[in-house]
Amino acid sequence: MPEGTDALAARAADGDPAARAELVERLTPLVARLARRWEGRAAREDLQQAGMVGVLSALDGFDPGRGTAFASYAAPFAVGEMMAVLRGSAPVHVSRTGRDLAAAVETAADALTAAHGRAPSPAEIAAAAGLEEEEVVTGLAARRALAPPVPDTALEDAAGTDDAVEALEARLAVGHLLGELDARSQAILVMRFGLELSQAEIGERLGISQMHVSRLLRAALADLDARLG
Amino acid sequence: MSTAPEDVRLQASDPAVAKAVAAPVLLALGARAGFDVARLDEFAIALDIAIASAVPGPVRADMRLTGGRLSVTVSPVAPDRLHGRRVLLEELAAGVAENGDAIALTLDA
Repeated sequence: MPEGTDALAARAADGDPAARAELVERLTPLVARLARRWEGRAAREDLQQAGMVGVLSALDGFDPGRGTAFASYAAPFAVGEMMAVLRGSAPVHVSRTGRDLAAAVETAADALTAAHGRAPSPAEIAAAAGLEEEEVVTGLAARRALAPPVPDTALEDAAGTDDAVEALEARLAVGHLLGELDARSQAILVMRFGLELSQAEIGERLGISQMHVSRLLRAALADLDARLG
Repeated sequence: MSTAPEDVRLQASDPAVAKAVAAPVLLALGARAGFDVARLDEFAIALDIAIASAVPGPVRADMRLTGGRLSVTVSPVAPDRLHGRRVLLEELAAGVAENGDAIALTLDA
């Protein structure tokens, strides 16, 4: 009778290279199945490789005594690594000009939102920033390809309650996926779609800019979308 | 605000390419219609999500600006992928309509 996966994981965690190799072989079908969720959005080999990195990183914290099967425990680690690949696989290179325009657009948009209490149009941003409207569009497009924002403690403090998250999960019909997101993403989605606040209103409530809210919202939705498979 | 219809038809070799190319075009059309950047940004996210519902392989995105209405139709989409995203799309776009293997999103001024 073959050794159980949990026992194998325990030996691998203790540094047994043979157990580690056996574990990789045994969990390859699981990782391949998870990778198929995102077929077409990144190279399958990259996803599977990242997923296996996640599985192996799960060894450190695995405690067989808690009663959770290793495969179940490791799956979220695999998914997390795969999503890192998806986030990093954007085929668009952002030029220096694009970055400069993105910064100029953000500065002008934030000033206009603060002045008028609503998000401005690209034409209004162009007038305020002294840019052509095409340059504003270039800046807006560049923003989408830039790296997601750094962790935002203020927003994590404003995270939605479990009830609010569950209510939004039901409304969006996304199962329990919101509960898998980080607190920051949960909070931004609850405020935008649960409380139905505008980006400008969320920004005002949290003391951050509308453009920052926009970035956080995009990152949260990208994370949720990736988990939808 | 533009009144004559403007059409952009985009055919990409796979969803990742479509996602990279379609959103900037959508933003340009939306800017011409005078939408604010928050609505445009969320509509572009809806487009990303619609493209994520596409069947792996060549993807088509047909965009149209008519007066104050911006629309985009993505095809072919996979029903099972679209199913879990449908409500989310309705939150981000003013209109969502399925037609065969296509999904159409609209944004109104």
